[in-house]
Amino acid sequence: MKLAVSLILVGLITLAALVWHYPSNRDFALNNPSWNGLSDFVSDFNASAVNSITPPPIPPSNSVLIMIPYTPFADPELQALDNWLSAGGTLILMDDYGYGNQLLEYLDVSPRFTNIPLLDPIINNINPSFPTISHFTSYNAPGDNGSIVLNHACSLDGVNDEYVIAESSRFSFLDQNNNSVWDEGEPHGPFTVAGSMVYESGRLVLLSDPSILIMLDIVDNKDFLETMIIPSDENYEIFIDESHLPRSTLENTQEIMNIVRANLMTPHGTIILLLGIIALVLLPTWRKYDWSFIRLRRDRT
Amino acid sequence: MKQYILIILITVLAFTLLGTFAKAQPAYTPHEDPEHVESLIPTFTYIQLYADAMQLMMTGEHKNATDLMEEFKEYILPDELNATADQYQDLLSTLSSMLSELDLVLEDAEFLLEEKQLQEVRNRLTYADELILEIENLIIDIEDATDSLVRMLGKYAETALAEQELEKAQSRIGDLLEHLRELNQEKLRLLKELNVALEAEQIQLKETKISIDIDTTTAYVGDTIFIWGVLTTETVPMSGRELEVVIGGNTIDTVTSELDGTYSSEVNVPFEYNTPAVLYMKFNPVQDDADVYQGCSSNEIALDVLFFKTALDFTAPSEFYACSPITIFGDIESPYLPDTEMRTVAISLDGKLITEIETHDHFELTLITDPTITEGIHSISAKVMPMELYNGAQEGQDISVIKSVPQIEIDAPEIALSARSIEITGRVASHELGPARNAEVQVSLYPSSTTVFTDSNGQFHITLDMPLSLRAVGPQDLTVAASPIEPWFRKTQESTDTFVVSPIVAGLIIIAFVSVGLVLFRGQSENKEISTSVESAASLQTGNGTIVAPSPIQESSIITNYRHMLRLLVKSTGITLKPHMTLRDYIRQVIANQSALQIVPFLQELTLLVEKELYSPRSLSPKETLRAEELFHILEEELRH
Repeated sequence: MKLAVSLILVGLITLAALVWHYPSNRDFALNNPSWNGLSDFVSDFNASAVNSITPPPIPPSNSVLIMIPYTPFADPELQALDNWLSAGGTLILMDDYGYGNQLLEYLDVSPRFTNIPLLDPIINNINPSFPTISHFTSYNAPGDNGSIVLNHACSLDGVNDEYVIAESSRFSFLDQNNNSVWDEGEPHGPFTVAGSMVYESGRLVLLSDPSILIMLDIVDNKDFLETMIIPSDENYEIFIDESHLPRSTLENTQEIMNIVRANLMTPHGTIILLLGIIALVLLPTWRKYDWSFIRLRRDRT
Repeated sequence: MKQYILIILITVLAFTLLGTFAKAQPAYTPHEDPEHVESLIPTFTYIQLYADAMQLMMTGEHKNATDLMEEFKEYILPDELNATADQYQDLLSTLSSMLSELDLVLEDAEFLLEEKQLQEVRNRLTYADELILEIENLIIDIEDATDSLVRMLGKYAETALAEQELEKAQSRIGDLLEHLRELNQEKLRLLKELNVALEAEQIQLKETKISIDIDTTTAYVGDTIFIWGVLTTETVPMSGRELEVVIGGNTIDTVTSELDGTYSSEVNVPFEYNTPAVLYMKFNPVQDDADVYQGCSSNEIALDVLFFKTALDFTAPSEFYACSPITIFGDIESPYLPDTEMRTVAISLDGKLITEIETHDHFELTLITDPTITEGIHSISAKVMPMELYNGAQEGQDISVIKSVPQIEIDAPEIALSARSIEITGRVASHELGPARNAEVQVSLYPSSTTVFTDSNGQFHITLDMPLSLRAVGPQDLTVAASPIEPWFRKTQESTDTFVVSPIVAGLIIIAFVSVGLVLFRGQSENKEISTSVESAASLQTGNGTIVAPSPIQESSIITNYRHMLRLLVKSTGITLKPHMTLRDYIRQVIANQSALQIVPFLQELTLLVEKELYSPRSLSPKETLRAEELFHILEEELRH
């Protein structure tokens, strides 16, 4: 019986350790080292995660917040981002058929994500879903004749010419009926895929595909982010919002374990933990100890 | 068996749960793994784009057509197609440029015809005729090349739809080439019309001639030269006509012919420091003359324009710290420039004027750049402005704007107590640029963090309050991050190790160790109790009930053996002999616990013999002693196994 209990205990501890250390394979997870994760981006750009944008990172003027809104914004979040941008924050909004337009509508700015697949049958890296972008605003284009590659991108509408950073080729089109070929009436390029605009005292950068963050090693993607999207000034701290990314059960479990661990690390938790360990150590002695001498003493007295 | 089942269950459970966690991902498909995506060659779309380019050529949008074909170059084709595609593209580019050139030449010819410059018109029309012929030949080549390219692309058309689209694209290109051929024929017709108009003008309009003479073919910029000549038509002088003086392609003056058709004028050589400059006279018939006379141009004269060449030797540092002062030097060589005369020098950074200075031949200037200047490569240049007989000169070079990383010296205790304050001092400074003044310094030692500012010597002093936390115990990184305000400094960070000790946690750990020690101590004292019990039993005397400690010399071998046997028994059964127990009590407890039942009869028999040895006034007989020895061996054997 004792062995069975011990085995269960060992099994549970092993399971907990595995869950704790098992790397996430969720899209855009900061600790995901596989192709769809941001571990490379985090190390290259020294970025860190924020699990809530209420409040957003401070100070706004020295912070760059990257958002990939897969889930909708709550009203307090919209309000907080509005205030944060107004106070000088730099927000890089990268939408992937998500809720970017909800924020843009709230901020009352003209650009919108079209949320329609942008295909380029000619100027692409692998196939039309991987459009190559080589038209940049000239003053700071990445490298010489540089280009970037997107991955199942959409496009941006309503961006003023002066705010355009990058455009797709004239061969690109919006695949409205999702049949992967251009049909009569479907809009064709060039389309804006990246733009940057001033918002109050802050800066709002829009990119129609966050996948560039997971394809840093393809052509000039990393150079593009360094030179045109993310401020190169070292005074800036780069944050990635994780609160609007879909979470996996694994991550939820890890978070629960993290909370337990954090509580155990507090002074009270530490004391309780140590007392528990001491009690466990002393339990066999307690059971074995012959308490009859107390009775004998009582009898004698 | 149960244990094995449990192990299997736990293992299966662990891997099942992990598998579930790993699969619990969102069902979005916003991207694909680039390494596992099938590459597609949209053959028909590719050739369709050539058709688009031809369409643009047809509508005269040659620039757009050229741009479009430039973008083709970004398209990556299989190697075997590249050469053919490149040649095809070259043919189209040549066609586009020739069509564009033809349009320009014909437009030019029309314009010159209106200006009655009939000789020039004739030259243009001859050239246009050559172009039309070349275009016709080029269209034939492109037709052949299209067939080849379509044949090669056909291999990559994997579906019937793709083949069909490829055929459609080929057919479209064929149609467009036919249209281009028709367009070329139209241009030919226009050419013929212009030729007819030219002939008509030649018949209708009188030929004119203009001569030119010059007093010198060599002059300094700004000098005055004297030109003269005569304008005639069929040997008759033409008076009162306005003539243009053209130098270096620009009309710089006009002059009117006299009654005898002659003209003369003093002309200032413009301050254009290019030599030689082409000089000629031009007559454009206007108003009534346009219906009577042809226009004409004189012979061209090569005018050697003289000026003093300015030489500039400019030196700037190859790099400098952002916003720190930089000194630039320049030597200007202006031959024969009087000492009192100054030259203007403009200094620019990235093409933007920073300052202008006046100097005769040398300048040394210390500049401080804009605080917003970014790190990286910039360009700095000095331009000596042209001045009368002296031309301008410009020199520039790349200059790197860098930032220095200041060093952080940290003076912190190697061992610190948590739940106490830690004093940390240090200095932020650079060897080259001195201290970082008023820099923000953030000191972090988990989980505490405090921010202060450096003084004028770059020094800082921080008192860090450490809370009680288990994570804060042990070796910790003490991190000092400095954010200098001087633009020439970068942010920097330094770390050092500090061993943090928590008194409370240390106390609790000591308690834990003491507890473990206690357990071990009790284990030893139990062994001791066994000896004490036997000795107690051996010291009992019948009658008065007093307890007398036995002498080790008096102890018989049977007692010693019995003690040894009891130790084995305690080890085997786990039942200890307490000080208050008699030997019989102990045996009863062994029996009650169902332990070592097979030896109980031997044990009871031996115990009787030992009690006799202990409590009887008579010693054991030799037979009993032998039996006791035998029982010891039996019991020892049993208990060891």
